[in-house]
Amino acid sequence: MTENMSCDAIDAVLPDYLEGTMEPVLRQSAEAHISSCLRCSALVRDLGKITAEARMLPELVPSRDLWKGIDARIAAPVIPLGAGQAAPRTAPPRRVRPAWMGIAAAALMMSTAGVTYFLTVRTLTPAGIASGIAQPAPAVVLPVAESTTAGAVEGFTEPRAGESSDPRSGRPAASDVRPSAAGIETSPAVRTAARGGGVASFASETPQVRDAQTDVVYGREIEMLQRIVRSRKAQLDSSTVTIIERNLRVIDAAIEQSRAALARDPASGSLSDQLTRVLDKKVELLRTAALLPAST
Amino acid sequence: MKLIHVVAAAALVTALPFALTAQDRDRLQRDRHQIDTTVSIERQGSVDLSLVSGRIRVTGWDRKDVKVTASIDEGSLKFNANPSRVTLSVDHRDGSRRRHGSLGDARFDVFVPRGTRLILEAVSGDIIASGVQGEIEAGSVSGDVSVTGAVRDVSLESVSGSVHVSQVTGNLSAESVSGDVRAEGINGNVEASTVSGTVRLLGIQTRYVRTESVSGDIIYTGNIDPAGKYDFESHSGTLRLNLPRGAGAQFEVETFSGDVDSDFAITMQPGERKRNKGRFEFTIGDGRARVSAQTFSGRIIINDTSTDSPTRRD
Repeated sequence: MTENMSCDAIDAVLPDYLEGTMEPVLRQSAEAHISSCLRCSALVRDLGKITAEARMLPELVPSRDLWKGIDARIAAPVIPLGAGQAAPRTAPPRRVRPAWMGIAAAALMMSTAGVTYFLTVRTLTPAGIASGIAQPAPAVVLPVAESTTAGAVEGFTEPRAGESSDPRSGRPAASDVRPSAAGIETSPAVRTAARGGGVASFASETPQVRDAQTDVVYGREIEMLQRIVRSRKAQLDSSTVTIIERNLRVIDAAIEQSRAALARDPASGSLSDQLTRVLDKKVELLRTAALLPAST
Repeated sequence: MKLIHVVAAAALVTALPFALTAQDRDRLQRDRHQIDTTVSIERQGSVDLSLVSGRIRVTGWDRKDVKVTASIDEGSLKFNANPSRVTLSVDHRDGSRRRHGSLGDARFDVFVPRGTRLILEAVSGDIIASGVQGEIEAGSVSGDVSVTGAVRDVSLESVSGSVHVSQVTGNLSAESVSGDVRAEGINGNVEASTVSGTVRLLGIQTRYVRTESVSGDIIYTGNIDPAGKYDFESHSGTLRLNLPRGAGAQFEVETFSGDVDSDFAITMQPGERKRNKGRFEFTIGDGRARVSAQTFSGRIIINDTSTDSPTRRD
């Protein structure tokens, strides 16, 4: 008689389960749970796919040493934030398909440090501020010149010589709030932050500097995804490629419009949020394209 | 003579298993292209079906068994069943790829006990599930996904196909890239997104809605719960909210260059404000719910469903 395990317990033993190193009794319990649990059975199946697909991936080599930047940020002096400037931004727990998640994780690993830093800056909580929690300071403000231009981005098309790809992407500070178990989150502070009004900013950080940072940080992520997507083009069905490209153009047009409006009103938090949203969509679509099964 | 008989008998005994094996092999080969079987499954067991091209159709029924009828033109079927889980997929690794590169169509017709959990995947195939009344996770790249009658967590995706879901009691997540998303009769949290398709949410009873698109329109016809939160975002698509007259909500409506039309009077309360061009905060009714509608250039239309509004369109 085996005791059925919980999903959390399965998560904890999953590596051993997949590697076949579990005790027989535990394994039996795990199998009993997996066979009856939608979530865990999908997880195990997808991880199996990841294993198979990972063998086909080219070796990824970091383009640079990330530790220097991380180290610098850790050591940076703390700059106190003004009260009431920040509010939490809670993103809904999006459903993540493990197969995609694994490959995306591998693909995005190299750009994660910068993205994490950026997200941290933009998601400071009032509680953290109130309790004096040290927040990372903008130790490295990348020059605008490092930012790439605002040209349209093609997911499957190699950029022309001298033309860089769209720099800003990612899902910073998703502007949404999901209901908690107890009810719907309606905190005014949250709502303010979700709309961009409460984005934490440093005393020395202007919207332009913040946008420049965004350009650089998310530009790397989007370029990474584009490389993967381009390399996969031959594996995908041409009609799917056409649809993906067409929708990337739709998003690129939205990015251009948002960027142009933001250029006229650089201080607009709502326009900045608008730009972020369409860039989010672009990243989401590129990830989808990067992880589509072959011959689709 | 006796020796001859012994040798013959020995030869027969030796050959028999090989003959049976050959028969089995033929049967198995046939089974790999076609399945018609019924297996038992535990209450709330799971059924996992996946194919490349073709069609998956799952129907809920009142029996306790899973009935599987499946066939494939090229390649083979992989079928596995135990009391808690039934899986069926296709295997094209045996060189079954056609000369022009496409794969053989597969057709799965499966009846499952109501309450069964479903995991359905297709690449270029359509997915249809009806009356299952269980959790469903379904995704297709270029096929359509259609689900009627599900509970708890329902997650549906397609890239270029449409997603159509109705009669769900539970949390719904529906996504597409270019296909339309249509959800009707949902009683639970709703998340829906698309890039260029249209999102239609009709007959919704919920406390939480979050929808987004880039160029696609978003249409919402449903309740406004006093404890609810409703977010609608599009870059250039039209947001059309068809709300009941008795709705009470605090609205945040914002568009950069689009128009705002409202059947409800936009009356600023003390403390509320029109922050700048195209951005309003206003209250209707008791103002308890939160409704946010944001576009860049898309129109925002807020209709009172009790009136014959000229701008109303489901």
